[in-house]
Amino acid sequence: MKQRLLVLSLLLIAGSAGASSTEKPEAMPEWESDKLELALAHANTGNPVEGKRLHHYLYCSACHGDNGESPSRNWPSLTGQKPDYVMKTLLDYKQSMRRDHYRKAFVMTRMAGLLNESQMADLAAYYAQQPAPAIPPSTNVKLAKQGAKLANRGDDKRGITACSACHGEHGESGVTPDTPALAGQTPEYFIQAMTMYKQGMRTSDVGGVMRMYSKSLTEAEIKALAHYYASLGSKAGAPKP
Amino acid sequence: MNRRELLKALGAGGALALLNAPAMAAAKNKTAHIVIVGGGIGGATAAKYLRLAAPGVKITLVEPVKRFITCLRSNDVAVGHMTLDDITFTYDALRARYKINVVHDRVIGFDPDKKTVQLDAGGKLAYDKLVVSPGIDFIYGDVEGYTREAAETTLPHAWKAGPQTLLLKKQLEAMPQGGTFLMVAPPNPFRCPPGPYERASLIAEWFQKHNPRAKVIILDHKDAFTKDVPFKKAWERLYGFNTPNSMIEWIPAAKGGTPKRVDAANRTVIAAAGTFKADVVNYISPQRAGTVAFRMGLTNREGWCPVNRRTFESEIVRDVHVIGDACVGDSMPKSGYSANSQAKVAVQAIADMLAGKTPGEPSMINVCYSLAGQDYGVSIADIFKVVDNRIVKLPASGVSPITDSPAQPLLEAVYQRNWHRTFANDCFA
Repeated sequence: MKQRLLVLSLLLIAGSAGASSTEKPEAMPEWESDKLELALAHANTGNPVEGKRLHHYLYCSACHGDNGESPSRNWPSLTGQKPDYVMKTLLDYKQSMRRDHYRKAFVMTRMAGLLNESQMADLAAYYAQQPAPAIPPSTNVKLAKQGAKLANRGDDKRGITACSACHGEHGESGVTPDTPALAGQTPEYFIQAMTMYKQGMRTSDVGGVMRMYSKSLTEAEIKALAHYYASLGSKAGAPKP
Repeated sequence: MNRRELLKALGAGGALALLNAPAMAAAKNKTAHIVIVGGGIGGATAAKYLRLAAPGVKITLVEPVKRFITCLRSNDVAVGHMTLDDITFTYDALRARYKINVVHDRVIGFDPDKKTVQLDAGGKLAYDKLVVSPGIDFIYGDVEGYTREAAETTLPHAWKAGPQTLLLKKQLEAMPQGGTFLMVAPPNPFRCPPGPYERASLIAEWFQKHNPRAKVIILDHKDAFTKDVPFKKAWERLYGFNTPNSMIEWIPAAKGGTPKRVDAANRTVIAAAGTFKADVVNYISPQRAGTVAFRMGLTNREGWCPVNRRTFESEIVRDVHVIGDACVGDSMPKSGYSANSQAKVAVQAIADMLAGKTPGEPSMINVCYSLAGQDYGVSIADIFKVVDNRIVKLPASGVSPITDSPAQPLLEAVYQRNWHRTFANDCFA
């Protein structure tokens, strides 16, 4: 029955006219924190078994890996991510709030459009159940050491709070839904995300917090932080299929 | 030092011992002039990739138009999802980044012995190697009543993007509610094998919004077409195909779909299956190699250009390579992707020959995404190799599977857009 509904929702989407290919820079909508709280009320009630099925059935695995640990530097790992952040991200996409790779996020915007909120929660539950990603092969130990200090102490002079204050001592994520786990994410993806915040191209951070901090960081600092958080990946990562 | 001077020097004797093969190759490379006739997908790709394969040669591209409109995605233009500007490309990058001498002119004469081509504006270009990428032209009068004049005024083929595409668009928009759109799908071989069926799909989708009682009828010269399994599944899912209320009716040759006569003034096509009077008739003409290939004497009796499948050198004229829709490609479809793939093989062969090396064994690909709806893609991916001077498809090739996952056709539609952007850049940027 569920599959039938999905096909039906596809038919409804297919009936509406597609967007023009000519991409114009447009202002992205932003979250208000009370609305976000309401939207994520059921984020932690998902069914991980159904989430695992959806992960394959909807081809999420094609880019994010068999278990949600990405085999590519282009796309993030989802394993070990906390449910409300995954759900928030899927809602970001569904509401056309996200760009990826410095352009409109066509793939994820359309994919999230296929999902209802219960399915988002199911996927989120599945990813949360998986162990955090392994240390990516491109991680540079020397750069990671440079990043550690800034990540854990911040920089008073420039008003930069320690990253760990929100993202956790080991990059395992913090309390609020908009602070993802960062441990084991590829440096390339981390740099892309931070650069897009810095350039104001990514506006999904509640209250513009990441846009503010990233503005104060140099490219070299972003790079060092990227390698530091990559180096916090788990020893093993997701079980291989 | 050109080739003749080099031969003279060799004939003079004394220098022979000093000239080893690499030195000869270098001497040839420096002066080699490669002329490319036709700046479509094949010709533009050939110019760019020849520069990458043979940095030292002189390259001239002869193409009449300054702004090239690709057929790729022109079906989207016909139903208003894209504009002609979206599919129009210039030669600026080929000039600036790849140092191609682009000449906007027409080839009107050819001397294969003296190895020159004559330009319309006057002047001749001498070449060491010539690449011809002429595309297609249309065969009019295959059935009684179908003429060039009819195609240009009342029955657009819209099979070369530009004014014909806009004419078709205008006719669709002027259709009365509940009217009939009739397409005649061409016989094999023809440019863009999935194109007619993508067009029928996108027009049915457009009707859903703008003319919900209108119908699409396809009269076909054939009994099967590329990607027909996923296309028909998409038609079932989106347009009620195989039900009494289907928006698309496909009449294959076996059911009398082959057109016999055309009454252009009354927008009527007569076939064994019946007399079809429509509000818009999109008669996609049978095709042959582009006219310039005929003028240059590169075509066979079937109207296509026979080539050595490893190098795409003409089997009729030496030092002339024919690529793209116009060449005899065996199992390789006449697609933009094939032209792009063949261009790369041909220019690598040319670079090898100029360097005194034997061209290698080619491996070619064709990837093609079509839309059965704006959010529903179907694709094909083929890998080819050459066996006994025939291009054969390898078993690894395949088309979109039929699954019940709504993500599968949706992702293919997204990939199609990304593919189009990347592919156009591979050819023109």
